[in-house]
Amino acid sequence: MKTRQHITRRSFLKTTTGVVAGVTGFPYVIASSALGKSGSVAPSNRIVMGAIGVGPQGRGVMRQFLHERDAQVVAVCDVKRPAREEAQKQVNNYYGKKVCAGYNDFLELLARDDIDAVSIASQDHWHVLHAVEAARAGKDMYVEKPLGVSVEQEQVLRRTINEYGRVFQFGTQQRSSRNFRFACELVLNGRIGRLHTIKVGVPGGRYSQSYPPMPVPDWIDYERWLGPAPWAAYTENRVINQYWWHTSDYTLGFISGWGVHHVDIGQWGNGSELSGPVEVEGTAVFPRDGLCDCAVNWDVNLKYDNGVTMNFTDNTKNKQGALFEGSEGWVFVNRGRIDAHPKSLLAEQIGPNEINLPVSNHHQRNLLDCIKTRSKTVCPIEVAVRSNAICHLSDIAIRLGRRLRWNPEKEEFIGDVEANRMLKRAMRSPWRL
Amino acid sequence: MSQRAKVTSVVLLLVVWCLSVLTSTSRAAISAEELRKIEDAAPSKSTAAPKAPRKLLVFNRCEGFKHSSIPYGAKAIEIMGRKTGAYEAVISDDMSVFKPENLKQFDAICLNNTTRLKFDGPALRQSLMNFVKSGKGIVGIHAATDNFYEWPEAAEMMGGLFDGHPWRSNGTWAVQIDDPQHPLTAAFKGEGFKINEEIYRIKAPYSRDKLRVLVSLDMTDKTNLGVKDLKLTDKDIPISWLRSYGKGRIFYCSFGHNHHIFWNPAILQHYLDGIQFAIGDLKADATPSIEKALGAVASYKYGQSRRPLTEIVEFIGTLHKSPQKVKEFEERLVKLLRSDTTPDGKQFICRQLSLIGTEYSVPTLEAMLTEKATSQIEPSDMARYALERIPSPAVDMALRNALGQTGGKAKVGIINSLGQRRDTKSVKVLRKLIYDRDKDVAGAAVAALGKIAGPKATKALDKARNKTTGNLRLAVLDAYLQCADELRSQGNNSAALAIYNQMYKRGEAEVIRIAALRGILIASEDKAGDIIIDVLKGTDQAMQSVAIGLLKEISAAKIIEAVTEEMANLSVSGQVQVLSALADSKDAAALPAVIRATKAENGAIRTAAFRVLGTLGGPANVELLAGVAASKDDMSKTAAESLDRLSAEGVDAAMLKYARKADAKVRVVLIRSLATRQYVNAVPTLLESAEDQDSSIRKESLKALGALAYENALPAMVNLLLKAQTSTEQSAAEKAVLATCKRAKDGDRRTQILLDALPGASVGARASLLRLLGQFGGQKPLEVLRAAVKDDNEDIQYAAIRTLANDWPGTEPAAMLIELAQSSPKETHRVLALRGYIRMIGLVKEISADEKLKMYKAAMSAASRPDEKKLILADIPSVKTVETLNLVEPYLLDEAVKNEAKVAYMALALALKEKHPKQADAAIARIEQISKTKSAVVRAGRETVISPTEGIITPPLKIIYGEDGTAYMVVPTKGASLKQGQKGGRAVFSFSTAKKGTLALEFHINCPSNEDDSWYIKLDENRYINWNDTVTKGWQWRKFPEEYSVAKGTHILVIDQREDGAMMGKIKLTLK
Repeated sequence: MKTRQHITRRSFLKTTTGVVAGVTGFPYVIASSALGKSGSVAPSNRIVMGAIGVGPQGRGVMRQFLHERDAQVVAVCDVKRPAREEAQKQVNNYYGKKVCAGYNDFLELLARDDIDAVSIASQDHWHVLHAVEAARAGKDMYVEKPLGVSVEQEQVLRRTINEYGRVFQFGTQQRSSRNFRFACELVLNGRIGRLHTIKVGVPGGRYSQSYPPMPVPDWIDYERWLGPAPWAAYTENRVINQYWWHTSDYTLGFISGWGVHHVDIGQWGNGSELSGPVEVEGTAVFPRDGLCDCAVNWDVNLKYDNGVTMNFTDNTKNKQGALFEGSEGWVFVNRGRIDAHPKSLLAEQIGPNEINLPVSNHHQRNLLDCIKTRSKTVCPIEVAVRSNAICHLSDIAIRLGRRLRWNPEKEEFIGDVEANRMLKRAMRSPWRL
Repeated sequence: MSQRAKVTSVVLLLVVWCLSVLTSTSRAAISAEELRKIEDAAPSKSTAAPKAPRKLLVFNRCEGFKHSSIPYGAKAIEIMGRKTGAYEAVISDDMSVFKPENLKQFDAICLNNTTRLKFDGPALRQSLMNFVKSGKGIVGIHAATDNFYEWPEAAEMMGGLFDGHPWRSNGTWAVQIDDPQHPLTAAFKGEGFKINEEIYRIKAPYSRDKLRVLVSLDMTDKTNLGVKDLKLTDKDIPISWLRSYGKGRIFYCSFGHNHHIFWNPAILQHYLDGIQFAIGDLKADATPSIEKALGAVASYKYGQSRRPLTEIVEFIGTLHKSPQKVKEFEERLVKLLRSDTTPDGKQFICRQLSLIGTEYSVPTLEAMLTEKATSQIEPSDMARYALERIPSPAVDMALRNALGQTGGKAKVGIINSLGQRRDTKSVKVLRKLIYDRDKDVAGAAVAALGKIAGPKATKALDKARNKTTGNLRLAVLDAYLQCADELRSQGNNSAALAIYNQMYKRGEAEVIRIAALRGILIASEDKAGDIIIDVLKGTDQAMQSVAIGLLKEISAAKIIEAVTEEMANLSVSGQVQVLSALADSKDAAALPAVIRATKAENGAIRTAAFRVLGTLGGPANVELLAGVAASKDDMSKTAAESLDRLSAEGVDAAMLKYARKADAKVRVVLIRSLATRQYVNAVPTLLESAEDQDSSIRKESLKALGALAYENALPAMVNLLLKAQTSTEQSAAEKAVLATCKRAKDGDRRTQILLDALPGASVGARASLLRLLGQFGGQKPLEVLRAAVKDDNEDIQYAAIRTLANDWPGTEPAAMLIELAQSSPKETHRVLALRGYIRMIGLVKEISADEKLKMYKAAMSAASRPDEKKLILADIPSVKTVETLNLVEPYLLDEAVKNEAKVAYMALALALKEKHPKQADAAIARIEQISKTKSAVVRAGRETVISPTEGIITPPLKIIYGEDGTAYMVVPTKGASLKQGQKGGRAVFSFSTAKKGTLALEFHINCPSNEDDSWYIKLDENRYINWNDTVTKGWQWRKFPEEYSVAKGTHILVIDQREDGAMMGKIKLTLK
């Protein structure tokens, strides 16, 4: 009788920058109870937190931290008064006392010495500014996806995080879900044979009308809302109803807003989470008029030097989720389900001598644990920058409408000045990184 | 030639041309019907009155592909001229018509699907050019761009060349009107449309910069984008355009491949208007599209249509291959930037220059750096948006120049840009600005110096450390750190270390010291170990954390040893951190210390140590881990998990070996772990230990066999089943055999092994074997099971009935089961058999609705308990007949099952609505009568609101009353999302509409997050809509994206569970 044999992709992984997190050996998190007395956590052992950007998503992330006994939220910041007040109410109600301060200026929140960590869920074009300043202020952080609005910004954040030795968790919470982890482990351990194609599908963008300028209402600090983005006349739909999720001054649209989730899984399963593709090309549909100007539909092919192609589209083409196709089977995973061919793969176990990815079953919890052990989270900054870069590359390739070659080591395009110019964006004064 | 003679010759010529046309048209034979359609579709009046009698030459010659639509085009042009009096058409295909003397009588020429025309010799070419340039016109139909490949001047005149047609003639394509205000698109009334036609890709000399494009393919349309031969560059697919050429006028339209184009009234009108333009009677603006769009940019304001801007962005995209053209366009943009363009327009231009701008743009942008704002857009912000991305030293110089002339925000921005661009030449100025009175300017200068780095900036920042205070000083230190990092990245570690050491000094802010220590450790290379030890020996916990965090990157054995020596002196969290770092270091040298830590007093340290052991440990640690795992120690679970994770060479073998001699409890742990570790080689040992005298070992071994064994171990395992001493062991053996059976590839062999074991088996073992046989089907097992149903032994009877009812994969036992259900003396047998029968009705394939209904009837009459009736009612709507309604009807009044009956009844009514509307309506009325509710009537123009309480709700969906007493429905949260068609909660509502119309729906919903904000919603027989992404702030009304055209009468709305946690209250119905 022989030990079951599988084609292993280890040899490949060894020769690339590969799955760093995958070979680190501390997959089980230290439960909070192991560090304090179980059940109650001494105030001195609590991680004191602030939340920057507390719209519906920011409050959702904050709620997860509220529920952790060794975290305590003491301050929130938002340039929209109603959101700020709603968040303060949420915190105060949870603790049953008035403990939560509200700020309009994030620097005031970051200046508080008692705050150890921040949860950042502002608009995409603010993420990196908030995060860089948080790192300089010595805070660890959870940063909602997507990362930034230019590759350059994200590189600056990576450098600053490492310079100041901060613990960083990226808001790609699928990494803290068993199905996604298991799907990637099946692929990395050769259970579908040799991986050749990754098909990623996510919701597409949206169309809108053009809206006439309006006077700025008093519930928003519009100047700060715009922040580093070019000035634009105020109109209500610019700041509400999620239009800014699809307006290029403030985001890349769902190509990153949703895209980074499943692209990140693709990178994980491909063993390229610290590297990237070498070629990108694609087609897309952009709204020709109206406020929203990000890709509505797209179909992008990203080629890796290991021969794998990632086909990244909106979900009118690829099914929503990540599908890994190999020479001997496939694995599909999204938030609702995991499926595979042959079906029996789903019952397989990953042995101790195979690639075991780090185990996290709660994304916010994972950050808190890593803050305590000063370890890398399940989606650290190095990985976040690389996953987000796929979205930038896709966006730049479809906007330019031509095939681009990418050097993942230098993180720049080869032989295309214009594409390289698109890797950065100037900021409106006085904002800078 | 006299005047008279000339006229005669022309007439003669005309006769000859016309004859040639007649022969070609007679070949194609336009039918009388088609002719009438063309006649009807042709406009009866021309848009402009002809200023003189006009003559149009319709030229039909083909040297290449010949379109069958040519006679249709010719006929349509001729008819339009005749009907409206706009011109007289003269038809020809003789090249001699292009001689100057023949051409001069015409006002315009129509190239009617001509292909590859050969204008040999300069005379004819000159003649055509003179004709146009002198102020006459050309109209091109479809293949008119498929001509002048070897005559660039004429291709230029036409405006473009044919380049394939990925949009084939049998397809239907979406077309957009680029210029809805233009007189020549009046025919289309400003609306895009879909058309069945062959559409050309057009290549250079096509350019929107020379042509006014009127109509093009809508390249946001999915179908247009879905064609096989689509290229990355297919962004602009023009269909019709006009241009001026010399004093003349050109109109081209690529419609004209399919015959029906020539009886399409709008397209004919478009052509007629184009002809009148070419002739010179209809005035139309021929300003090229891009020039017009640039005009719109000049006056652009936020809130206006962005279309002209998009047109320019798209146009720039087409210039990429020609740097010269990009340059020219840059010049035009700069010119516009210098004019009195609106600030919003200028901002748009700066965005474009950020991509294509060169040194040429710099002076203009430089001037903007110091310009005063006339709106809320700062000219310097705009200018920097472009400048930062332009790769030229001229930019840096411009920024430096502007520094001295600006103040406040503008100056801050310029400094930021210099920093972004890492302009070393600006250091001289920036270092003075550190001490600027304007704090913002000073801060910006400091940050910029940090980005620029290099010796001079480093020196300036070093000085500034002692001359600044507060936040500015913190900024200086941050910048100074970046200088050190820069030195380190250049390999100058000693210089970097000097800086880090300055900042690591006690008294500096902790944040900075942490960063400095990280720098020191990374730059110190081999000395890092000693420094780490020093830090660990100290008392500063923050610094200890940093040192420990970097351990994994510096894992020389010496350091590990030293660190582990220091470990015991650290705080608890420090020790836990060290252990975590040791795990990451992957260095086995740490093992002794880790083992020591497993004996620590503090639980957190022990837990961490046992976990690290799982990562670093090997065969030598098996005994320790297994021993603790088997003990009652707090750490037993952690140790067991680590045992499962041990990954060094030889661990499995060591475990197997140890499993032979360890005491019973430890052996159980090892056997369990071997199974988790998927160690298949353990099977022979497990077959032995499955007969151990210790029952716990026997049990664990059987479990492990179930996880690991393949079919060649099956006979031995069946043997274990036969030998099992207790019923628990028997069932453990049965489970293991079942798992292995499922893995077996040879089904016949598997069956035979099980059958062979039957004779002589004990009652318990026989029951087990029967259950196993029931799982996989087959003729022989069926016979055995049938016989067993009649066995003398009750246990055997029960096992056989149960497995046939619950497990049997086919439907063969159905008849037997219903018989048992009706007549078995034992109630348990009757119930089991009935349930099995109901299951099988669902499995039967290729059966008529009547037959199936008959089976349900039989099941229903055999059902005595509500439970089985509910099962039947849940499945029965799959038989969509009126008869089924009748079968269900009595149960509407059966108190025990009425809710299930209502849902089934409603589902049937819905399914029957189309074919049996009367019965369906009667069914709905019946439910209303029984429920004593009246379903809502929706009247035109009035909102009708229905509440969840009016619906039929099935679990897990349930009605909850909010604080204000209003009902809403929700599935309590587990975080699940269902696929469509998956069984979940359902709400069914019926209502009727008073007349036909369009029905709009609005829902009052409360969706707190994007994980509980969706449903599957379906009206009548329409498709299910996955209504998702409806996150709300508390309770809000949300419009349903779909509207339905509905007939008068009853309707059924079905709302199926998708994500739980999504709350839905009232539903508003509006009929328009």
